This record gives sequence, C-alpha cells and structure tokens, in this order.
Amino acid sequence: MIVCPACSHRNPEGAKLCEACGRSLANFVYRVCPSCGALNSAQHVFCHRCFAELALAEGEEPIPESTFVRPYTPPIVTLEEEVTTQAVHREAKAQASETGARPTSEALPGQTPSEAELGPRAAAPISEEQAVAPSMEGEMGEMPASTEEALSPLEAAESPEVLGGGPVGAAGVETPAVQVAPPDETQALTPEAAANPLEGLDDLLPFEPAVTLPHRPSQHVSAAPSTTEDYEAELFQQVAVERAPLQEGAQVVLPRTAQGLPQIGRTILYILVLLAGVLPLFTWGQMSSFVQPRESVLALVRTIEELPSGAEVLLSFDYSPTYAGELDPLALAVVRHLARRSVRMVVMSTKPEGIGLAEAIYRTITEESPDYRYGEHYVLLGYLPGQEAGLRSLNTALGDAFKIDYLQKRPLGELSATSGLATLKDFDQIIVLSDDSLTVQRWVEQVQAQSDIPFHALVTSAVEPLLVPYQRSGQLLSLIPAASGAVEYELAGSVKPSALFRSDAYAAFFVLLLVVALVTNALYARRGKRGS
Amino acid sequence: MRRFLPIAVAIICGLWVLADFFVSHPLIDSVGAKLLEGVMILAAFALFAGILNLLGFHARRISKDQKDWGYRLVLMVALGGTLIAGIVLPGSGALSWIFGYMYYPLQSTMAALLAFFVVSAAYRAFRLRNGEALIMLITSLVVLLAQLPFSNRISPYLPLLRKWILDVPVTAGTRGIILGTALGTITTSLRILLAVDHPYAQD
Repeated sequence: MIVCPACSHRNPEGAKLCEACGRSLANFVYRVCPSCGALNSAQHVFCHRCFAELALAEGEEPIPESTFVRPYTPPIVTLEEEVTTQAVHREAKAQASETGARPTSEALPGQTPSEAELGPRAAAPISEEQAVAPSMEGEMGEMPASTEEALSPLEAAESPEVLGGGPVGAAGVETPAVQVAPPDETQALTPEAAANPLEGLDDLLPFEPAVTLPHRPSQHVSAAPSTTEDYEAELFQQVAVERAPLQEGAQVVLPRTAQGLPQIGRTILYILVLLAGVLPLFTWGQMSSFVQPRESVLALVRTIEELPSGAEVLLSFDYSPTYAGELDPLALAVVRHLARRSVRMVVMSTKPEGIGLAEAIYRTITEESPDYRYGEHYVLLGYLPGQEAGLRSLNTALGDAFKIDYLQKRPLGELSATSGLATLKDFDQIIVLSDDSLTVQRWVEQVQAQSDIPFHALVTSAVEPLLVPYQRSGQLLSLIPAASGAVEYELAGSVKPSALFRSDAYAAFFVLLLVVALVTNALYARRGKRGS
Repeated sequence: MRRFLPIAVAIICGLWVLADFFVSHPLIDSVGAKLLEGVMILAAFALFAGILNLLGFHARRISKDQKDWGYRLVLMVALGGTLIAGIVLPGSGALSWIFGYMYYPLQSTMAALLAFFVVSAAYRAFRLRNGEALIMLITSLVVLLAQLPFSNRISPYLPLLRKWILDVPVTAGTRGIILGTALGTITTSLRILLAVDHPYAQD
C-alpha cells in the first residue's frame, strides 16, 4: 500500500498516481529492505517481498500517517527573483573557487544566500537517514510541517554527502541507502528537477525504481528451517502419527461415537433402497387405489374445471432438473388438464434451466394433442432475470420483461396466445412450480400482493412446510407437494395417468425409512443393555 | 463528490422504486419500469461476467499445468460447446439435445443418490438419545406414515395429525422466521436508503 504524501490516501501497491488527488506517487519516501533490497513504503515494518524486518531503530515506533513527509514543492519564482538568485549563485561559486572550499549546499531558486549557506537545514549536510528513511530519524517532529519547507528525500539524496552507508538499525544491520549517481556539477539544478527528479519518467519506471543493490545476507527471519527445527518437526511427526505401544493385557476401547453404521449394514440398506425403487416397476400402481386427493389438490382441479375455454393462465417453471423427477409428473398432469380445457398457457421461468424443462413437457403435450399448437394455444416466453426486479416488471408491462418469445423469436403481439396480454392482471390464474420456498415468496410478495390474481404453488415436499403460512393467509389458493400430489391430481382431475406407479415407490421408500428408524433404535437399545 | 454521487444515485433510485410500489402515477410508473429494466439487464450481464470469470479462472490453471487440468479442460469444452449450440445454432435442436440427454440425466442421477444418503442418515438421526430426539422421532414417524397412500387404512387420524403438525407448530416457527427476515430486510433497506450503509460504494 502506498500512502499518498499529499492527501494521505491509501493507494494500492504499484499505483503511480494517487487515486484520490491524482498526484504522482513517484516522490514517496521508501524504505529499503536490508535483505533483498526491495523498496517499501515508509510505514512498513516488514518487507513486502521477503518479509524481513525493516530494522526500526531501538524504541522507534512506526511513523503515524500525520507526520509523513510532504513532497517538496518549489515556490513561485518571479523573473526578478530568478535573476537575483542566479547572480547570488555565480557569486557563491566565485567565492568558493577563490578560497578553494566547496560550498556545502547549492542555493535553490527562491532561497537567499543566508538560507542557502547558514540555514539550519540547507546549510547542514543532509544525513543519510533523511535521504532514505525518515522514519528512522527519530526526529520527525523537527521536520518542517509546511509543504514549502519540506525537503524531498530524493532531492536530498542528490547531495554527494548522503551517498554511501546507511543508518545502523536496532539489530545492527546497516540499512543501505539508495544509490544514486552524483549529479553532474557542470549542470545547474533546474527548479523542475529539484521538485521531482522523476518528472516525466512515471510511465517508464515501475513502482519500484530500478535501483540495484548488492545482495546482503539477512540476519533476520530465514525461510530455511534450522537443524533444531528439523529435529523438533520430526519428533512432532512421531508423536502425532505413531501410537504408543500398548501394555500387556491392555484392551483398546473405542469411544461410542466411533461406532457408526458398519459396512455390511450400509450395504444392506443400499440394497433395500434399490429394491424400493425397482419393485414398483412391476407392481404398476397398486397403491394408487388407496390414494385420496387432499383438499388443496381438489381446489386446483375445481379452479381449472371452472375456467372458460380460452382463459389465460401463466405458468412459471421455477425448478431445476435436480428436482425434475419429483415435479415433472405433477407439471405434466396440470398441463394436460389445462390443455384439455383449451386454456391458453403462457410459460416462463425465473431459473435459466426451467424453460428447458417446460419445453420438454410441452413437446409431450403437442405429441399427444397435435391440435394444441404453439403460438395459438401456448407460448414459451423464456427466462426472466432479475429475481424481484424481474417479477416487479411483469406487473408493469409484460412486453417490457419479454420482448419476443422463446422458440420463434417473434414479438408477443404477433402470437395469438399473447396478443391481448399487457400486464399480469390480464391473466386468470398464476401457477408456479418451484423447488425452493424463496422463489414462491418472491412471487407472493412482488406479484400476488400487487395484483390479487388467484395464485397456486406446486412445490417439492421439502419446501411445502415453509409455505404453509402463505396458504393459511389465503395468498396461496392451493399448495401442493409434488411427491404425492401428482398421483392425487391424476386421480382427482381424471387426467391420463403416468405417475400412478410412483405411489408404489413412495410407499416403499417411506416404509423403508420407518423400518430403519425402528431397527436403529432396537439395535441401540440392545447394545445399551449389553454395555450396562 | 466521489462518494456523494453513488450514494445519491442509490438513494434516489431506491426511493423511486419504493414510491412506484405504493403510488400509481404515469411518470413514477414509467421511470420505475425503466429502472427495473436496467436491473434485469445488469443481472443478465452479471451472468455473462460470471462466465468470463469462470473461463479465465480455469484457463489460468490449465496454462500453469496444475492438478486436474483435464477436468478443467472438459469443463471449458462443454461450456464452449453449449454456448455455440445456443448462440450460433439456436434452431438446430442441439441445445435441446444437450439439455435433454446430458444435463437433465446427470442432474437427476445426482438427486437420486440422495435416497441412499437419506437412508444412511436416518440410521443416526432417528436414534433416541434424549427428549428432543424422541419428539423428532415421533413427528417424523407421524408425517411419514401420513404420507403413505394407505395411511387412512392405518388410522383416520393420521392425516389430521399431520395437518395439525403442519398448521400449528410448523406454521408458528415458519412465521417467526418470515417475520424476523422481514424486519431484518426493512432495517437493511432503511440503512441503505438513509446512507448509513452503502455497500455499493465500498471504500
């Protein structure tokens, strides 16, 4: 992370410009890793590359954000001041050549000679700590707060005095300084270069300037384990894996919780499940003679029987192929009943796979009743994305949610089954087939509550208990669990039977579960008596 | 401004759609419909972005020759084939064939395996350990028995007992969950509308 020196915004690693203020981050103060030479942000304690400690001075705390060094911004120099400064500069050089002494500091534009030569900062040699890691100085409080007075570390690093060894950290490791070639003394330092030596090179330089440092062996955390660590790891492995030898005559007692279903028991159970599924193929629905349709099934059958020919019903196939085995027979029974009543069906889905399941159901219906045609008697609208928002849009305008149909890609107005439909209020009934309760809840909240259209939900048996409150409140006129509902519907609606044999399978499976429950407790009771 | 703009847009859009729910006015209705249409477009685009992300994820691992790269390759080929069947050859019936003869049977097979797991789990779940387990066992037995086609022959009270279980204790618990969820939804909505929370503009 790079903290912007101007606004203190935290930018991601590698950012060249501040995300908040847009300023260049090239002048940011780095801390050089003593181990790998990577440049880290000033507030880093550990190197971002090799995780070596960045050698804080003894007792030194990581610098708070509020004390970050501000970049040097050159003062505005007028032409008159520029001329004066250059004159002073030439005079100082002449004096130096006369005396043979080297000026300790070059005056910058806007600085008076007294500031350049006698000022507390400008005149004094710039320390290495200032050049590389201000956080190590321990004197951050003395740094000038104003932007104009602050001295850029990179600018300071240009001074020949700062080149060489770095400061000595707490661990006695010398922190290397950034190696920068000494400036050409024949070239005067322009104000732009003083302000930002990397000006114009932002796009050429990566986040880490290409400063090469000689590799120094780290005295910090090493990735390679020591001999002691190897020995301890081996010992731990032995203790964790190897079992202690048992004493003579000792008996291994497993905890009771470890006594699970034995393999032979599991095999027997799986064979019984297989039989429960296969045997009904040969009994062909003998159990269906015992089936009595429940009230909610009878209510839906009555509703469909009372629909006039040409009535419009919206069906939403909101389930996945995972539950197709349970919901498909009920869907087929209801669609057959609606087709027999010559009801127009508009079909959609709020799940991407649902419309494929609907297509298969209607293919069967079309094969059974060739007079029942696509576009005239039924239309597949397709998948409606957006969940709640999608359902809300159905209330507003059907044409906004579905511009064209799913199979023929024609506008809804061109299909006779949908030509007179504008909103959901034009439908006589809504039937939703779903494998999860949230989908039905969305339909009730976003559609039924707004339009008061008679609403029916055909769901998986696992979902049924979660939707009973909506049925009791009257928002769902019928709530039918599909497992037993398909057989009940075929009987109540006198629809072509295709799910009757399933009643045998359900009965066999439920009986198996009952037997398992009873046998399980009998076995546990017997073991308990033995144990006591 | 950088933070203010998304918050302002979110509040205005949220209040507008909320007003559309309660007020019937041509302007509110039309703008609300456009906003909802935008949500649907975004949702569809999210699906597309998800596909791209999935492709990128597996392509990177295949290029690095990571473990199970073969399965990843099969996934990408299947995804590409289905996309081609759906987009390039929409009327050829290839998509219906893939759905009907590959996706549907595989999903149904996975669901059918649940029968074996349910019976195995019943071996442990129906064990009588304490009072709570006794209540669960009795309730399960009643509901199971009542779902048998010949449950009336066993006892005429079994279907009534099952109905009572669903209508009273189950409905009470479910209503509690629904009401709690609704209160939580209202609270979350208010926090977003009042800009207390703005998850759409994470810092």
